[in-house]
Amino acid sequence: MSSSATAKSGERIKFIYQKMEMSGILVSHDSRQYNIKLSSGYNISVPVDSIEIIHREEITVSHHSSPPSENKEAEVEIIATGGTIASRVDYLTGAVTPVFDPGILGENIPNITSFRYEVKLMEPILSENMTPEIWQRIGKIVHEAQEKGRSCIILHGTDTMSYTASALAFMFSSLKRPVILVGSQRSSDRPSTDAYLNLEAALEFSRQNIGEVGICMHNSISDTSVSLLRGVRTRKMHSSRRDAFRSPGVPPMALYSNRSSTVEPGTIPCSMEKVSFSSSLEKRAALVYFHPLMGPDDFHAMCSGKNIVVIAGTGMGHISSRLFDSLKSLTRDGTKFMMTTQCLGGRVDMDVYSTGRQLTELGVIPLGDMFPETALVKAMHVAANYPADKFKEMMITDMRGELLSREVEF
Amino acid sequence: MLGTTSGETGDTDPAVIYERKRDRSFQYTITDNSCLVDADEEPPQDINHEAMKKAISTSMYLNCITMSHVQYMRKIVVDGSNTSGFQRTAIIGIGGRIETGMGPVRISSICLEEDSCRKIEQEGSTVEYSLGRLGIPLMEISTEPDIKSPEHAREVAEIIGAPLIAAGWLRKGADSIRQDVNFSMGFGRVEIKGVQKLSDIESCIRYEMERQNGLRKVSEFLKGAGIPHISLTESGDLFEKTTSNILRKSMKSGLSIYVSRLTGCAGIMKKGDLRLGKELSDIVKAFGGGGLMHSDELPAFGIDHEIGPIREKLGCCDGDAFIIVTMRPQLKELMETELNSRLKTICDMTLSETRYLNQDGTTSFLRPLPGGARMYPETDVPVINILPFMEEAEKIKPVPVESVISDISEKYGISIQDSETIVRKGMLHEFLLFLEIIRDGSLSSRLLLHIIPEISKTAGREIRGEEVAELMKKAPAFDLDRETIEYAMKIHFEDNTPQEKAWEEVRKSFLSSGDLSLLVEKAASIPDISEKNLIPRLRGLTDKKFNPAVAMEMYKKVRKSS
Repeated sequence: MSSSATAKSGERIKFIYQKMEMSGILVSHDSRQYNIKLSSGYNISVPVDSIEIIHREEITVSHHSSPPSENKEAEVEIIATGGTIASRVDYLTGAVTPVFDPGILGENIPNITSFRYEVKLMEPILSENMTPEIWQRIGKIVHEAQEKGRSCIILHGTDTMSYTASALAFMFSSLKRPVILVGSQRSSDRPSTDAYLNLEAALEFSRQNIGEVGICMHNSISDTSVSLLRGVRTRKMHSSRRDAFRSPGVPPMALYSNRSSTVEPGTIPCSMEKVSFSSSLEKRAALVYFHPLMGPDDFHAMCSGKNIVVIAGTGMGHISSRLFDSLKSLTRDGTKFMMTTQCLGGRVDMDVYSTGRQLTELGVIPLGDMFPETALVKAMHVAANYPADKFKEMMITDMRGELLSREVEF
Repeated sequence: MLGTTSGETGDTDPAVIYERKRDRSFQYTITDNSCLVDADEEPPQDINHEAMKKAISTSMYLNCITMSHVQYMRKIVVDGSNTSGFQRTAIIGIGGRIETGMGPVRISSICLEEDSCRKIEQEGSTVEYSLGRLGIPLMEISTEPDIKSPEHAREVAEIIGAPLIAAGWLRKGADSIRQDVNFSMGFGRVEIKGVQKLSDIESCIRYEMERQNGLRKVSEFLKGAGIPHISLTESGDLFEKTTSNILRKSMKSGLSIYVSRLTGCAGIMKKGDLRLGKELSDIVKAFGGGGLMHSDELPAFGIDHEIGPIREKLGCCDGDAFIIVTMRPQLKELMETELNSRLKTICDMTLSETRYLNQDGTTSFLRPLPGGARMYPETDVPVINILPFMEEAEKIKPVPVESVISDISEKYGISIQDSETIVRKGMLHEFLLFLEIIRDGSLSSRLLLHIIPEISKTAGREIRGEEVAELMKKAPAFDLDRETIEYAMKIHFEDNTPQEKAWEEVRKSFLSSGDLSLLVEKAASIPDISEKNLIPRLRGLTDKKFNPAVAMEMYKKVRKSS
C-alpha cells in the first residue's frame, strides 16, 4: 500500500494516515517506522505500513558552518576535540553529533570579540573514546602553541576530561601560558547550555598569569560563577550537574563571575623558561578497582602483561589477602603495584592495618591522597620518562600539585 | 540566563528575539517537590505512565486518531518559565471531533506536555519563578477554528473539560485548568493565555473584539493624520517638585522620567473604545520600563501643574498628545524603537501576538507569536510505543457531560438542576474541592450556588472557590457546618479579618457541639418544652450561636433515650 521504497529522508511528503491527509518532511525511516516532521513542528513516528505517501518532493536543507581560519596574531588557540561542548544538533533528526562550528562562537560568547584566537579542529571524538594516543596528539598541538606563547583552550567531553588534563599536566614540566580544558554538561542546542558561559570564562582565564593545566566548568548550578580547577586534582563528582567538577582538598585556581576573573593565591604563575615537553607514556598500564568478588584469577587476568598497575583499594588501601599470591608472582615478573583509595575522600595509609603493612612488604607503593585516575596517568608518564630506580621516588613526590601532604578541609 | 539558539532553518524565532532584547535574568525557588530534573541538572526519567494512559484515554474520548508511537519534542521557550529553555511536548492524538449545540468542532491535537514554572514576581529585569509546577503532566487540547461565538467557545471548553474534572484527573488548584483562547477577526491571530474560568472565555473574547474595533478606528486615524514619531526626552527637571507619589517613588528607585510628544494624537490615547495609551503602556511594561502615563488621562496621579511645562517643552499644539515614561536610562533606545514599532503595527492592523488576561478582564501584550521553527526532537526520551498503555487507557475512559451531571447528582445527593448548574457553569472543580474538605454534597453545592454569590455581593468583589477552600482548611478542630462556615466567611471576606482570627471569632460566638448537647439536655428538662419552642428556649439560655438543625437532632435523641 505504501510507496516507501521510493521515499527518501529529507523529502517533503504528503501522505494518508488513518484516512487523514497530512504533510511534512520525512526525517528518517527504517524498515519499520517513518519519522515525519509535520508542518506544526511536531515529529510523529508511524509504522511504515500504516501510511500511504501520495506526493513527494525534494528539499534542500542548508547547514551554516564557517571553516576555521588561521590567525598569525592569535593569543589563544581553541582546540576542539569533541564532546558535548563541541557538538551540534541536527535539528531535523535531533541527533547530536560531535561537530564543532566555529561560527557559533561569535554568536554566543559576548567577550570573544576582544580576543585574537585561532580555532583548531581535531577529529571529533566522544570523551569515552579518548586514548593515550590522542592525549599525545593534543599534547603536541599544545606544545606548538606554547612555543608561540599562545594560551590553549581545549574543548573536551567531560567524562574523561580529568585524565586528559592530568596527562597534559605531566607532559609539561612548566607552562608559558595557561592550558584550559573546557566542557559542558548541557549541549549547546539548549537555551540553558552551560557551554558558552564556560567558554567565556575560559577566554578570560587564558589571559591570566596561570602556568598550569586547569579544568574550567560551572562553580554552582546557577549561571553566576565558573571556576578553574587544578587538572591533576579534579574529579567529575556528578553525572549530570553543571557543577559536576570539584577539586577536593584544593580551592579553585581562579574564579570568573560578574564578567571578571580573579586568580587565587597558590596558583603557579606562567614560566619564563623554555617549555620542556615529553609526551612519552607507558601504555602497558592498568587501573584495577578492587571489590569483594574479585578472586586471584580475575586479578591476574587484569594485571598480567602490565608494567604498572594502580589499585583502587578499599578504605585506607586494602585488597583481599587471597590476591596476595597472585600479586607476589606478578611483582616477581616486574609489574609495579601502587595503591590509591576508592573512597571519594581521604588518603591511603598502609601502616594502620595488618593488610596494609603486608601489602607494603610485598612492594605496593602507597600513593597518599592521589586520585586513582591521576595516579594511573602519572605512573604512565613516570615509567616512560624516568629510570626504573627513580620510579617509586617520583611517584610519591608531588610533581604538579597532585599529592597533598595535609588535608585542611573540615 | 537562557541563550538563544537558532532553529533548524537557521532562522531565529520572533518570540526568541523578543526575549533576547529584554535581556532578563531568572531566579528559581526550589519547592518540596523539586528535584534535579526540574533544575535542568539531570535528564528526564521515564514518561509518567498515569498521565500517558489518561492522555490516550482523552484522545479516544475526543474521537481522535491516537498515535501508535509517541515522539517527544523540545519546544523552545526562553521566557524563563522552563529552566531548560524548552518545553517537552508530544502529540498523542490528532484529527478528533466533538458535537456541540452549534455543530461539530474539530480537535486538531492532544499533546502531553510538561507544565511550566509559575511566575512569582518580576522586579526590573529579574524574574522569579517557582519550580513547584514545573514538570507536572499537562494535557494540551487544541481545536480547529470551528468555534462560532464567545458562548460557543465556553460550551466547547465545558464539553472538553467537565469529564476530565469529573474523572478526578486534574490536580487541585486554581490554575490546573487553563484555556488559551485564539481569536481572529481578520487582523491576525491573537492568542490569549491563561484564561482560567469558563466565564472568562466569553468576556475576554468580547474585550478583544472591542479592543480590535477600537484599534481599527485608531488605525484609520493614524493613516489619515500620519504616524507620529516617539522620541523620548529625559525630563527629570520638570518633576523635581512633583507631588505625584508614583513619580516620586519611581525616581527614588532609580528610574528616570522621559516625555515625548505624539503629534495629533489627543483624544485617541483614551476615549471610549480608543485606547492607544494602554497599547503603549503595555509595551513599556513588557520591555522592563516602570510605566507610562498619557495626556488623555491627565490631570491625575498627582500630576497637574507639570502639564503646562511638559507641553511647552515638547512644543505641543492643541491636537497633540504626550506621554510620560519612567524607566532605566539604558532602555531609552530600545523603548523608542519598540514604541514606534507598536504605532506602526497598529496603523497596519497586523495584530498577531500572544496576550494575557488581566484580573480586570482586559488583556495585555505578552510576546510575539512564536513561529513554527522552534521544535526539535527530545533526544533524552526514546520513542514510546503506546500499545502497552492501550488496555488500561480504555478502562478509564471519561464520560460525557450529561452523564457527569446525573452521576454527580446521584452520588452526592444534590438535585439534578444544581448538578447541571455546577457542571455547566464550570464550578465542578470547586465543588469537588469543597467536597474533599467538608464531605457534604448538599452543603458544597449550597456554598457554591448561594452562599458564595451572596457574600460576594456584600463584600463587593467576586470571591473565588479556592479562597473559600483555603479558609475552610484553616478551620481548627471545630464543627464545620453551614452556620460556622457562613459566619467565618462573613468576617473574613467582608471585614478582611485574617483566616485564623475569623475562626477564633467563630469559636467565641458558637457553642461547641459538646456545650450545645449539654444545653439541649438542660432544655429537655423544662416542663413545657416541645419541638416547637425548643429553639427559642435554647436562644434564651445562651448568648452564643448554634445550628438549630443540629440542636433539634440532639433534642430528638434525648427524647428517644428517655
